[in-house]
Amino acid sequence: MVEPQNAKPDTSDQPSDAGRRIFLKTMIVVAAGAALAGVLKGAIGEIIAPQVGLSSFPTLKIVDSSGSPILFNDIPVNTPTTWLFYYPLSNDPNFLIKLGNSSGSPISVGPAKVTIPADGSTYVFPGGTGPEGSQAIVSYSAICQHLGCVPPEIHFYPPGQAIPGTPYGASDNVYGIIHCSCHGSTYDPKNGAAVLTGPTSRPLPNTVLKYNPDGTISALSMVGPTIYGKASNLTGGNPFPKGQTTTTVTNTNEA
Amino acid sequence: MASEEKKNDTFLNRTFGEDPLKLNELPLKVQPDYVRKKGGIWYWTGALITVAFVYQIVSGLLLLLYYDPGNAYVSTENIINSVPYGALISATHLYGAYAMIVLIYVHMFRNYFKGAYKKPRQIQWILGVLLLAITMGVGYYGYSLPGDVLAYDATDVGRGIAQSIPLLGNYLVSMGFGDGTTTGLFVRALGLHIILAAVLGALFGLHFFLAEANNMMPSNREVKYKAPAMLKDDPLFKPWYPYNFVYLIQLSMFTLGFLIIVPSIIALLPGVPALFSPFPGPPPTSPLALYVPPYPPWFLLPIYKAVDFFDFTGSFARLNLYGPLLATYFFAIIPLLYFLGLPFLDDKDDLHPLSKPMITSFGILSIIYLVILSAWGALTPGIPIPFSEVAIVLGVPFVIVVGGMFWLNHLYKTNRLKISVDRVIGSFFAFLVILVIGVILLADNVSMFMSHSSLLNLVSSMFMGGITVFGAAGTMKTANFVSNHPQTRIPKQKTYFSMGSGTAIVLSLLLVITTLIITYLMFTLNPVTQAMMFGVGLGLDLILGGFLVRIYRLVEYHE
Repeated sequence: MVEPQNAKPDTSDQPSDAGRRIFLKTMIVVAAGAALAGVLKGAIGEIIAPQVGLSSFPTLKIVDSSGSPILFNDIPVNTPTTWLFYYPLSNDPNFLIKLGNSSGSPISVGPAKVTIPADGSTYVFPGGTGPEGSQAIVSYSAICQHLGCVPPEIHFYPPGQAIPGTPYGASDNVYGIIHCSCHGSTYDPKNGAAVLTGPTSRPLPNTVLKYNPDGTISALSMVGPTIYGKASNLTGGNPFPKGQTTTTVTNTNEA
Repeated sequence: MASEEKKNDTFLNRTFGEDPLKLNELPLKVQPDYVRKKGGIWYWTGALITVAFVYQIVSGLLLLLYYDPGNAYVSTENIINSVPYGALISATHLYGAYAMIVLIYVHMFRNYFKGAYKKPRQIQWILGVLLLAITMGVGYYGYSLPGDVLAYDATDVGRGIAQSIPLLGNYLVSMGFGDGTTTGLFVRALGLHIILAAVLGALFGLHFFLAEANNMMPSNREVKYKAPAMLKDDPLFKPWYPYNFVYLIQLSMFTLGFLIIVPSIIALLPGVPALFSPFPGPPPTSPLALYVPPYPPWFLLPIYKAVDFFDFTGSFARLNLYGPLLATYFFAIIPLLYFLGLPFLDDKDDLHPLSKPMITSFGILSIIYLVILSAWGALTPGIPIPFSEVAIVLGVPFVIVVGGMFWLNHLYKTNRLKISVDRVIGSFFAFLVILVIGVILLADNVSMFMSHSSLLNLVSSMFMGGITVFGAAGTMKTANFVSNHPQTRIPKQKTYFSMGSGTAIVLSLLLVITTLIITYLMFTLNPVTQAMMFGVGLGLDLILGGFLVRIYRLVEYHE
């Protein structure tokens, strides 16, 4: 090819109009931004897991692993053995505790007003469950509200047991204390699992129980803070397929 | 030259050519010989991380064949107890992650003090900091996969921190930990473990590409401590293949050898603490779980310990809800942002660590705090620390290091300090060790004294305070001593002991016979019950192989 001698210099890639170029670039950036917004919406939407769960609290009868109902009298008073059942969803452990005095007789647990130190709000703990005059059974979420430790790290210390690493000696523990060995939080099971000592800033959620005339016990609902780590008490787990929830018995050290 | 030609006239070379893999035509930069000599290992810290990363990919993919997120704990135990060599692969996968994290810290702080974050390597530095953060994320999810009590503690704490973030909390929990079911948790942990590892690989590709494009940072003396520190091309530099290639094989064999042999030996020892055990702990609901301290993975111990600093009482008790979030913010997010923003914070062209006392102090303090907080977290897991004690333990090193650095900076600026960078850094690390020990013991004694005020505790507190002061003063003296002796070190050619042909042949033969015997013994071991013994043998084989490459380089390349 021979270059024409008097050809004009090629100006096709020169910015003949700077304003037009900036305008066109801006259009590209805006369109790319719109597409990116769509991509982000789709990707983040996909990453956020859909919540599974229920729309209202189920009424579940507490049964043992063979399916026969747990009766009020089956649960020992002041036992250092942890009794757990799952409610409202199949992965939410709850303590089942029969409170008693230092001589081992069941006590009647009355209602109490519980304060949530995290925001200063209060709610009413409806009290224990059981036959008239012996409402000794209480139930709380068995996941520590501080950083989520579960039994055996969090467990119930019966009356008269000193709690290592806390100010509670044997004589200070009158009606039993729930203590988490992870970071030392303590809760008062006689008063709605209110916070006794930190670092937790929320009480344990209370599982409301009902004593049936035939001596069986049903779980009805939850009051208090949301179960640790969950957006709501009714999501974040699989519901029970049948109308009953199962207890498991966990051994803890008795020291 | 005739003998040189004759030497290379082998069957392989005649068939495939001199550089059969065309490695010299890859865009790989060449360097001066000193990168392959004593001390040259500092130019290969990134390569060591890469070797560990490749091992993680291979071992991780092998574990993926057996791991079942629907049965996290059971399938992990199955890998360890029933799958042939499963115990070895899972234990070395864990320790490979530990090795990566330790090596990344070494790599990062070396480049920090050398000023490698300055132009033209700013983007390379920022990508490197992101790689550290992502590696921590991959490590965190990997650590959660076995489903033991430590895994649950780690995911529960992570969930709590995510949820306490205002507004976004519940979304973040759902993104990071799934729909709340146990299977959902482990499916997500496995998925994010792999996704983050893939992101790590992609960003590593960019980081590596930039590292090759900018080439290694030459000795600061060569560039007179001024950025941009670029290596001048020199036709005398030896080609990448075979010199760097063979050296890289040697490094890889040593790295893999140690990576495999260390967890194998630890697995065979009795009574290894939970923090360093190569195997999972008990499941969370087992009664044994009560005896396991609620530890995070050791590389997150500093943040974990920091949670204990935010233990509010009285009218501030409501802030306890944000304790873990505040700890993460002050001890993870802010340091991360600092390291990410470093190329913007310090954009001057001065490379000497003494010319920027604040930046150098922060680097030294980062290392000191990492060590102190990790040790503190390991010794007193989950025990709240009063603010006064935190202020003493973190404040004393701060005052000493920053004060000392400004003093050295003053000497440097007035030209009264004629010591090399290496010496300054070296003496500070000696100081660091004494200081760290002193401060930890001091803190321990002070807290003892506060809880049980006895004369004995008071005296021991004073004694430990004395050790701390001694550590600080000694370092000052050392620096002063060194400054009185003008540095005479010249970048002289280091001489290497040479090895005769006969010695090399006999030694190589002995090493090979040893590896063959070891390999024979390895083949007689039970693949399930003696997998860790097998690992000891495999590690030894690799390390001996590394020595064989070393001998080859010594005799053939005179390196």
